[in-house]
Amino acid sequence: MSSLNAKKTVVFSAITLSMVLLLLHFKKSGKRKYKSNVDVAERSLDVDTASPRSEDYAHQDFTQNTSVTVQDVPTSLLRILQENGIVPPRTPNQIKVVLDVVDLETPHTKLRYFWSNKTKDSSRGDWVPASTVKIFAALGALLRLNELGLGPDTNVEFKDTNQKIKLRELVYSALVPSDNMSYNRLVQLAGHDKIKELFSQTYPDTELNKPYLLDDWKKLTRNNTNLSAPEIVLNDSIVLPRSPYSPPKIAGSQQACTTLVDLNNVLYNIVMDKTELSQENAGFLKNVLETRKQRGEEFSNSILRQIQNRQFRVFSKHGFNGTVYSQAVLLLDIPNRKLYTISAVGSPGDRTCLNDVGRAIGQLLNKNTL
Amino acid sequence: MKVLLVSTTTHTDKSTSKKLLAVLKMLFEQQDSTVRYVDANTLHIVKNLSCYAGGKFNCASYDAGKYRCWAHKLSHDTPDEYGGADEMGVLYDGFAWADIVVFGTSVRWESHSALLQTIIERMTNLQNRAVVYGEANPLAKKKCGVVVTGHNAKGQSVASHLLEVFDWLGFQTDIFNQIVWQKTNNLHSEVPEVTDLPALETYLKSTDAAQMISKFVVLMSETRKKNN
Repeated sequence: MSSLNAKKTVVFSAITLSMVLLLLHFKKSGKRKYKSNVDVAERSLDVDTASPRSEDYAHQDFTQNTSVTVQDVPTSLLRILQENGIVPPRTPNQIKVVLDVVDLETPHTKLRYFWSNKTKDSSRGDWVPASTVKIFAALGALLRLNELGLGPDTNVEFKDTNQKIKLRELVYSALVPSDNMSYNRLVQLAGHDKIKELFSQTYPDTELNKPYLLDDWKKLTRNNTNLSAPEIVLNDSIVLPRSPYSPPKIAGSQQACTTLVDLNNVLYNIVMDKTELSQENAGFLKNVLETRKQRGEEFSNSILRQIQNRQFRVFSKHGFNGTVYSQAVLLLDIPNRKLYTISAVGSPGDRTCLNDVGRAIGQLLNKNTL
Repeated sequence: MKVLLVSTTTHTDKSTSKKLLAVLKMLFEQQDSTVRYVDANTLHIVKNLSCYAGGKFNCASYDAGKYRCWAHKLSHDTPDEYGGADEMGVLYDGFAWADIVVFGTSVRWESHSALLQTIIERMTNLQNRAVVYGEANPLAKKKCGVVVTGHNAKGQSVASHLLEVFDWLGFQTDIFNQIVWQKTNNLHSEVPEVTDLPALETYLKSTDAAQMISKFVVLMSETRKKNN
């Protein structure tokens, strides 16, 4: 890491020097000269193209200076905040954050930062992910239909209630207004066995073992689980036979659970096209995740409000169960070749309980030093 | 290299996208490229006439004048009916001349400028030569990039969408062929100032700006083909 830092220092020094030279050159040449060439409307292609020159600005070969070593041990985000002169908030509640940084020129490597004020820190089953897990259900359902060559416009019929709905509507309502019944149906559509198979390697700490809004679910389906599925008919022609009860990966586990790392990974894989989804299906899922939500994005909004002069594409899913608030968010900055995935959870509290944490992270990202 | 910079903002003064095009002009020229700049807002560009809807051979028809475009030909035949003679020819000539084309736009309601959309629709006749007439696409060997600026909403989405459109039209594009500057990510920020130009000028002095813009110039100047 030390040689990397030394490299970075050299690069940034060179850039800074070139910028100083550029500014001096601007001063000498006079801004009006090039304003007159470009800022004034031109009607002809034969423009006088004389303009000031800078020797170093355009010829920097940044591609040679962006290698990042794989990080074995996550760095303390708290320490990084302090090193950057940002006073971390004193949060009365418990918080946990995992922040991954990827340089898009070396996307196979990630720098991971970690922040938790919990004394006990077992990831799995240690917190209630609530609606953030709905990303996995949507991905699972899309992957299953993808294997059949189908996409978002597939008509899906659940034979236990004869409910007919398009896959597009199920995914949208599970991820944007965060509808619980749609989530339950997505788990059934994906098939619990299929979810276990698909995710066993990629998202090892994620399980979708319990239907949400259980009472309503029982009334609707006369079933107290979504680990079995009724017969499902696709486009009035393809029959997915009824699937029997599929036990949880870990015996006795009755909850939906995941980890902040799994959440970061699933967002990254979707946005960077690392899933098996077709271009159409992947594009659809990305669009839904990028759709601005009416509520639940307080954490990412706190981050974004601190950032100036850069623009991020924002993909996110939030969760809230009354006392635990969480959000998984991916910030993509293609022009600056940066991608940040940030998953955070806070408890007890309302949807604003991560605002101070978000503000501190936003100040850090605004410095663009990660 | 021959570089065509096309501004499509309707901002006549203190435009941030024009400012970035000005910086690009300087940098491309430093690389000994020849740069031409067109402010499309000063051109009279007639709206597309939906010729394709009248039969796919209608668009890019050999009978439609020098540019094989009915909007251009008809507006020159009867200018009064089209608010004047069409000046899209300036851009058609520019596309034919250039190796690299960079479009600049401001973000308007989470989209690109209406003027740029008018230009895009008028480029159908270029793509149509390939997909309908089986000829070479006149844009096929040309690189395309975009400069998108805005106050607070979806600049990168606009840029990515535009690159996809220009890829369909026949240009060589790459997802990284974009410069996006946005003053803030706060969606609820109203514009207190008349212009964001001072904020952009401050940003242009930063290392971030140097990196982003330099990478764009290097990428656009590479001779290696790099399609999506």
